[in-house]
Amino acid sequence: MIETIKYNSKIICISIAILIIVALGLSVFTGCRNTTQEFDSTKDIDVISREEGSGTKGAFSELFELIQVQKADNINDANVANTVKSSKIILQKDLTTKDASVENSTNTIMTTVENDPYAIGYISMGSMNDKVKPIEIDGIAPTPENVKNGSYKISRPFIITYKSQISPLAEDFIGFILSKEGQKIANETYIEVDANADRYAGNMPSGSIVIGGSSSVSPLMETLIDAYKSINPQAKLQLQITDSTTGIAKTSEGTYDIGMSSRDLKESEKGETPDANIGDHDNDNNNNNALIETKIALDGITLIVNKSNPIDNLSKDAVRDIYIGKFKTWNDVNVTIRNLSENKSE
Amino acid sequence: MNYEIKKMKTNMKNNLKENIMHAIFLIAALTSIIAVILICVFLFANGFPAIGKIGIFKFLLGKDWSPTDIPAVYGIAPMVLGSLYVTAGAILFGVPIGIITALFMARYCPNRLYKIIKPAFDLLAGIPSIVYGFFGLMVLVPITQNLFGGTGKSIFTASILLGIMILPTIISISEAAIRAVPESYYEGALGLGASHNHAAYSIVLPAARSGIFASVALGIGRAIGETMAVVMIAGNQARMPAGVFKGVRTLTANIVIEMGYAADLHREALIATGVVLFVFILLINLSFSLMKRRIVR
Amino acid sequence: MMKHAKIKMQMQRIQSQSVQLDSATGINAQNFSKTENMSHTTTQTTNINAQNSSKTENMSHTTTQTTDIIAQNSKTPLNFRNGDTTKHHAKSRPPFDIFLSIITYGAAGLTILALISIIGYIIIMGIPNLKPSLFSLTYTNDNVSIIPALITTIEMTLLSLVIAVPLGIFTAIYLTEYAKRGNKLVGLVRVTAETLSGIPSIVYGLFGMLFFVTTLGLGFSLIAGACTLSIMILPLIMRTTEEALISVPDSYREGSFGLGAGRLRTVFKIVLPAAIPGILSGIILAVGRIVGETAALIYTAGTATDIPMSVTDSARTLSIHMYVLSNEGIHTGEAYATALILLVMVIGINALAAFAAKKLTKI
Repeated sequence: MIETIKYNSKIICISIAILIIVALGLSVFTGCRNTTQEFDSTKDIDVISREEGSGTKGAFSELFELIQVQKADNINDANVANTVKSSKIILQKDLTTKDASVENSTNTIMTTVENDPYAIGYISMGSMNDKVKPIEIDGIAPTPENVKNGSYKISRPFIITYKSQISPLAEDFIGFILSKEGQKIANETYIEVDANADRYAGNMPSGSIVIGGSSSVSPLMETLIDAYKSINPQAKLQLQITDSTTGIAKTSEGTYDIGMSSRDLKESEKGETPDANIGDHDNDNNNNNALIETKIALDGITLIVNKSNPIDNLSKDAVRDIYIGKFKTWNDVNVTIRNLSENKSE
Repeated sequence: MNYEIKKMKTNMKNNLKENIMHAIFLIAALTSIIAVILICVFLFANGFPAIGKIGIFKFLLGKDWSPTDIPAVYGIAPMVLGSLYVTAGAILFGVPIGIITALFMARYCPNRLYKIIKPAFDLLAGIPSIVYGFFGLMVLVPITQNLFGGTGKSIFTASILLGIMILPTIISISEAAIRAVPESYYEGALGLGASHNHAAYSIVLPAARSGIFASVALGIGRAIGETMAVVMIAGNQARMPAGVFKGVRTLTANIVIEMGYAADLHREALIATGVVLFVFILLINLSFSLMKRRIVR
Repeated sequence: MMKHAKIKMQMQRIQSQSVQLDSATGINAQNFSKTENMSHTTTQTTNINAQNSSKTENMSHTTTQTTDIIAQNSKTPLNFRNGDTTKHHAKSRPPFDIFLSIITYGAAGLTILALISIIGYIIIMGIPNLKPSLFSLTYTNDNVSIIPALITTIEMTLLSLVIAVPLGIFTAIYLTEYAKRGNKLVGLVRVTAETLSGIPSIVYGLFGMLFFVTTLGLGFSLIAGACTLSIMILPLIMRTTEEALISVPDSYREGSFGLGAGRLRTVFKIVLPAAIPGILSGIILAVGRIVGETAALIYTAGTATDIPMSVTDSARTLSIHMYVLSNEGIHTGEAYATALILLVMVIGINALAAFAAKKLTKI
């Protein structure tokens, strides 16, 4: 008797536990499936931004005026002036809302936007796929064609940088990038800078070089390296994927032969060795440290939202207002759009 | 005579060998001490100047982190709090479940099931943290978003994921501790009329507390130092934590997000962030070894 | 321990006796389950066995004793939190007891749920992305081959082990075999090892970058990564080796000394071979940690895609490969495939550990 009761209560316990787990599992399941629900525009906008210092964020902030800059002549405070490193800028403030999620990879942004109906983020045009929806800016679609003809202004250059004295292989490889073949590769996912380049006519020297820098440029650089290797098999090209700042610093330091950057070089980076914080150990070759920068391609920056989001066009100001935190919900955005269209019709 | 000399020679040779090896062993033993000293020296030497420049109170208690602004502001209070909250959350989720699971493994689990789940939990410990990050991003974030609103990237999500990540550590060490409790304790409890549950929970579990504390300490260490997974699911907003379902940035995330771009004082400030993290870990280790000593007494 | 074993033996004897008794005298022991009966008896057996030599006497005595105890228990509840001593005759279990059962099975179930969902997730996302082109010998932007990363992972593991294993084992030998009792150095080494094992990998990454990469001028390279990793795994190897050495019985050492062997000879010929299973399990744990490491390596070993030809070349391990692939959002599928391969590797390492431990302990 008691044996069976005990046995039963054990079974009851286990079954209750299993029930709880199944319930949890079900909620997990429904949680996964719920992403196709109807779009509720009263919900907060989930703003996603890139990390401080990233080339993509730098370009985006500049183009949407998310950085407040005050020049030196407006202020006469000597103390402030002292803290300034190089140029005339003495006050610079990043206006991006502090509530914005900060992600350090394009992939995380895309996955987040794909799963979150209320999210908005920005990515490199070359990384775009059909799981997220691109947003038109002032009615102009973010396509390579529109970047090329200049109507879509949200773009940034891909830059390579190198010293004036470089190895023959590096020189030849740069020649290849800027040749017709190289530019054709660049044009596949990005935008070429020189449509009328000459054909590649290098002498294919052997040797080995290190190329490093921006992770945004690296997909293009990888393809270029592969193509170049098929032409010049003796060449050994090593790619280090880090980031723009490291790429520039290490090139000027001599670790990389060619640096990649997804933003323009700062004045302080061009001239002399940028503070020798990365390599104090070899300060001997400070001569010839001036860096040359060359544009190899253009890359658009695409604003993306979830596919269930009804909005597909935003004005430049609306984007700015979203990113400085003025618009809290998608309704705010809708109201502005409606007002605009009413104004226009009047 | 000749034989004796030979013997003495071999003895001397052996002695020499013995002494040399003794020295080598001693040097090897010193490497870990040297390593700790080197780590301290290099981190502190690179981090302290920045703290000095920024000002220790401004650095530790500053609520604003805007390294690219001019003039730049470096305050890591949000990140310190973020790390603390996320770790506390991970303990809240991971520790009770981990300890009970360990007890289950040691006292409840049928042998056949044990043979399957024991290696499976070991596997859980071996999965790289970046894979956990993917899992969190694709599975946990959408779930929390649907259940609790917001972006889904929050203290809550990060806590759950970290709770899962510290489970294997807690389970394996706690289980070993529970198994080390003499069988007679359990039998004695049963003999005095306690039920199976009671014997397990109120006799065996407290007897294993020293080992369980050690597992919790290691779990905390892992949670506070976790980087790649947290960075994907915590939201990383560099502002004071605003709620359980709001995003947060941890100390580790701060380093890994910005290290690549940083230069000059910004870079030193990030290394100083690492120093703060290091000091945190040291404090946790110290307090737990003190606690352990008191428990043992 | 000895006492414990004795009690257990007696317990077993009594169990077999009580079965005999049941059939012989027809005493009904329904009121309690067998296990309870057993353990109740044990508390009393030690004295009883000594006192009574006749089997049947002994048995009847024991049973009456047991029932006495139970009767006492139900009258005077013991000092348990919920007075849960009435289980034997209770018709239903007290709610707290049921609650304990539920949370136990619930917690275990949750852990298993987490386990299944993570492993299932990796498998479901990984298998569709496995392509033969992933296994081509050279890396290009099209095939995103994992072979160079796989080879780098093996090289990195070997290199780290070459540095860390001798250091770890020698340290453990010093601590257990050479250091005199009360040696202050021993305590210091243990504390530092504990500290090292608690340091987060990103702090190791920062240190490796500052020390090996910059100060020693090694640059992003295999060797810088391996040095950083070897410091990371040193405490793990040291601790497991130390435990293994301690568990070697002292009689081995005494026997060896007695036969005239020196200390060194004893350590290398007698103690170390006996401790190999423990050492090996430590090494395999360390391998698992190296394979899964990301944060410490991105700042020390770099991300070059080629197979490294010398230790000063930069290269990426599988984990870093996955991290880099997942960053730009172009090769996400391949990242999942890499995750699956990492999982398979970890399973392989764990299985190897279990196998090695089994094989070696049998010898």
